Amino acid sequence: MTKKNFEEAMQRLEEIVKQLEEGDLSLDASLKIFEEGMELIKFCTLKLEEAEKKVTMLLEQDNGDTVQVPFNP
Amino acid sequence: MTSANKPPEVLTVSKLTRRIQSVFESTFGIVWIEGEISNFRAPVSGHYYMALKDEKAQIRAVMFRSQAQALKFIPKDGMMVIGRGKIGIYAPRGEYQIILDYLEPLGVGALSLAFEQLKQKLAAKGIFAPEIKRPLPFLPQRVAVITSPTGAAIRDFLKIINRRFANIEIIIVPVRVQGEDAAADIVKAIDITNQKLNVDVIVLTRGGGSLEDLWAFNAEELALAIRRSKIPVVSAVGHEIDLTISDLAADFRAPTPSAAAELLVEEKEGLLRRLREIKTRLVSATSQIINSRKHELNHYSKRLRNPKRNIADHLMRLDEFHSHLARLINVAIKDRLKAIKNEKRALRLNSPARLINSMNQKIAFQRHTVLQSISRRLDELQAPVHLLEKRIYDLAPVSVLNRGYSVVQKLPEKTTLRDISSVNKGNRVRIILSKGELGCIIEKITDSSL
Repeated sequence: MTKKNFEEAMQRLEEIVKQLEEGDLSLDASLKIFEEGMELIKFCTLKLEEAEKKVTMLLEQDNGDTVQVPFNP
Repeated sequence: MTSANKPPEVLTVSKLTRRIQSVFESTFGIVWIEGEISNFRAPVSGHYYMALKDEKAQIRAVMFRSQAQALKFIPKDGMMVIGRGKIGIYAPRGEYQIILDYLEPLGVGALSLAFEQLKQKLAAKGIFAPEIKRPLPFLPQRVAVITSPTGAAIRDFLKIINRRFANIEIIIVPVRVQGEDAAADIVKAIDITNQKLNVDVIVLTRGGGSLEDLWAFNAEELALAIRRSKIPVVSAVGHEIDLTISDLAADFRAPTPSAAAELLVEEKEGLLRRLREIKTRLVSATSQIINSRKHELNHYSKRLRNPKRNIADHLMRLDEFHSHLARLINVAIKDRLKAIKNEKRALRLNSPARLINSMNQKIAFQRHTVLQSISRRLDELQAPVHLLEKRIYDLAPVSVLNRGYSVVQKLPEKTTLRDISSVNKGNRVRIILSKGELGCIIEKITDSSL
């Protein structure tokens, strides 16, 4: 995922929220962009929560290969 | 004794001075000098003026404001210092001087000097240039931390990572962080990370220590390895006040290992927070829109009354009027009845009945009286009549009859016969005896006169 996509998504979200808060849209349009907003939030949250949480240590073996082992401080 | 030569060149003072100046500059360029400060002055201009001396000689020195401001200490007369500067000539006074751009109290040691010198060298090569620094990757997901596996730095680092929501993968590349071989270790670690690990950012970190302790991070090959790295490098070495070559060469400097960890997660945290906020606003704004439409709808729906209700309303009003009317009528009736009762009473009270009664009574009385009178009168009148009656009775035919006489009547006229001339043989006659009567037919007539 690129920063651009994420930033664009966030920007579109700010737009959507602003429009809804101004309250000038018809009910139909409001519901439509509400859905769009929720989708975008889902997308962004997913991206943010993508990475795995784990801690490992790199060890070099005798033959020069490296291996990752769990790290306990 | 001169032969016929060219006359010696006669220079102006300025020209001579200029020549001397250029000789100085080309000969000396930049020098490092050590000596004792004397005659130190710091006028309001901000420039430092002093002389640097040793036992046998002295040289004027000046440090201009912009460099003087950067000094971490205040120079004082008697201080032993090491400085770096350019030799120059102050033409107006014909004085030579050293224009210092760096000054440091002596005793900090060779290390300090070495650091400064390396710093200049690398700066000159452009190693520290801001333009070549890479930006931190957006939302790093995998991070290599080159550090001691047993030091405080990694503990602090991981503490911050664990405390936050941070879902981020950490790979620790263990190295020695001080000692002779440390620099080489770290360089190798950077290279291996670039070759074998697919991470978004490298963090170079160790805890606080003295200049000697941190020395590995001032190695030239480390700076080069950092710039060689294709992966952006964050340097967080020692405490906030410790600045190392590694810090200068890296793409980003964090003052402490904890700060480096914060750096990596804060963006994600910030964004998550922002998203949560946006979601709240999204839902709240939409709810409001829906609610306000609902209210509008309610409002109109209320105004749009069901016609049945109108009818009900009218029926109710009708009922009310009904009751009211009934009440009024009842009251009216009651009133009338009352009035009537009153009239009745009044009538009764004034009723002729009484009068009639009394009249009747009067009449009765009168009648009685009258009757009595009449009766009395009758009696009075009757008395002679009775007498006469008696006399008549005595003379009446009846008494005659009683004496045996009878009355003969001619039929049908019922006239009393006294004379035979009135009848003929065969006529019917009635004979009234004292008791009873006879109906006879004349059989024989006799004239008695004969």
